[in-house]
Amino acid sequence: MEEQTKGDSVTGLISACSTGPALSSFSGGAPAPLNDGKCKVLIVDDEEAIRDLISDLLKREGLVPLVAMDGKTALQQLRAELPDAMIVDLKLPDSDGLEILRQAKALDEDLPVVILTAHAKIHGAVEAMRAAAFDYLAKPYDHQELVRVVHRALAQRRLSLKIKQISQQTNAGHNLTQIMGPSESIGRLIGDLNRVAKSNFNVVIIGETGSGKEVVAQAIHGSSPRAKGPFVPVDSGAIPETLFEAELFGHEKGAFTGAAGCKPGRFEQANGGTLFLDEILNMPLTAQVKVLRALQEKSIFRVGGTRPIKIDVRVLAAGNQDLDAVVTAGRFRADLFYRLNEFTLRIPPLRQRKEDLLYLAKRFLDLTNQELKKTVHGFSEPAIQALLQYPWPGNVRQLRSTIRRAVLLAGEMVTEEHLDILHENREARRTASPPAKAQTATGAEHSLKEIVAQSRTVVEREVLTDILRQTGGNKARAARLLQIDYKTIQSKIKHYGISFHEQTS
Amino acid sequence: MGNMGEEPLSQAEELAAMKVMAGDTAHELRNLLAICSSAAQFLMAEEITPEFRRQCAQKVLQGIQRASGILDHLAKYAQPSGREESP
Repeated sequence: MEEQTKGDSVTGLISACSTGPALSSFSGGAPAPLNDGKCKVLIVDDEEAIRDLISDLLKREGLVPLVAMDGKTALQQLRAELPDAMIVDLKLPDSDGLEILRQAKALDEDLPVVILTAHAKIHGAVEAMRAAAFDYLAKPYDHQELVRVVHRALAQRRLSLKIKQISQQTNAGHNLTQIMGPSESIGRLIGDLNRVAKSNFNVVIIGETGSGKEVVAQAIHGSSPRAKGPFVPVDSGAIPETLFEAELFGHEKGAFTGAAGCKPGRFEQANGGTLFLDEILNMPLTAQVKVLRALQEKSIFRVGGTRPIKIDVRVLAAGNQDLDAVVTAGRFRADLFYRLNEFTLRIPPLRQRKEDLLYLAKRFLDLTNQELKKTVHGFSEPAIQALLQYPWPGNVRQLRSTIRRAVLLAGEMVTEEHLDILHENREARRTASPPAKAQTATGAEHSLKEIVAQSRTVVEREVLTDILRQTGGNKARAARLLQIDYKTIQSKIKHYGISFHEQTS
Repeated sequence: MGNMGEEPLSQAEELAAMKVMAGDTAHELRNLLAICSSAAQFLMAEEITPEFRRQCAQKVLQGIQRASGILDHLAKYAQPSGREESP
């Protein structure tokens, strides 16, 4: 009786199979398949003839069949090939299908698994397993039915991946709001960012120093189809001009003095992912030509190499001033700029985003409280006014360090006294040495050690001065607040020549 | 008839063994039927190469041969003499 119904559907299949593409077309309208346009389906069955026959059937549907004869091979295939669906026999030589189903779900929770069983009746066990399995079919199976189930499984796979992708993007957007602020201009930026992230456009990110260009670049990468690939940041300003090309493109053994082995460059490291070129205005003109060629040819040559290496890289570039002007002035190649600037994202400076400023100040206060185990509960009104009026040339980065230092110094509340930006204005700094930031800017003349030592001097002196002002010159209390002993604070005060007359407060 | 301890037990054992065998046999036959059925469905499709047609026919034949083997074994088991041979 069963055979008769099978017979009918077989007749139905004849036309369907002979017009293979027509059958496939009922999955039409679905989004583009995964994996280079072809879906992989893993067939696990100990019977060779069954594996062959189902493989042939799936090939006719334009799918890529993979086969495994036992549980062990099946798991290897699952790890190595990342199939989009799996058809598994319930009874295998080394384990049963349910065990493989469980392990496959542990590897890839969205993998649809179709159980193919030669068990006479659908037992309770099979019913239970239906919860985890996508569907089940009984042997002998009907071709048309099997094909239909597989296409449905693949459609569900696409759907669950899509949902995952969307929820990831929403999360990314949410996190970005947390990091960058709730203002309308940041909201618009995040909207643009999400739209361009999905494309393969090269993007130029323009923003002042400290405004979060790398954060934006990472967010683009994170919500792009390349999210699983590498994100490779390159600070063009930090690489000496002579090493620039070797850094970007790698080098072969003996390409130049000191090139002992061959080394892949940043472009190769970023293959399949995103390369983030920060401070592109610092890129040497010779390197600019080569970057342009790399983008045009989609391949690179290592320094000293003769073979082109194919690369698939999306490039995000960032600069801290209006690049257009620099391009017009001829300091940056226009052809490269246009190649990079398929889309522009501008991060507005913090001083134009008062809403974000206060939100971020509170956020940094909370974070620093957590870090230092303090309970500073807010800002005094004059402190808020001071924050709002300050121009923040160092943007979010500067705000963060300002708030961190203020929270370190503050007791119950951050007041103007704790904000170093004010002392700067007031010329109350009284320190002979220039601020640490200026030191780094002219850093080329000093060794790193010298710069760090000088900066530490500046910071220590500043902190000590501030805290003594806060304690009214009480050295013992200052020492306790800074968690150093009295002797140390005394010697430091002497060393830095800080004069504070003890006051009775 | 005085041997009350063994006779009923061996019958129960035999029954249990038969159940297992029936289940295994059904399972194997279904697998072979699946091969034959699938190959036959391909044979009924019009657009297949002569080589693939030959392979499918071969699979049907092999499936039938293996199924016959299983049935022969069953038949032997069912014979009164064969039944006595097996402990």
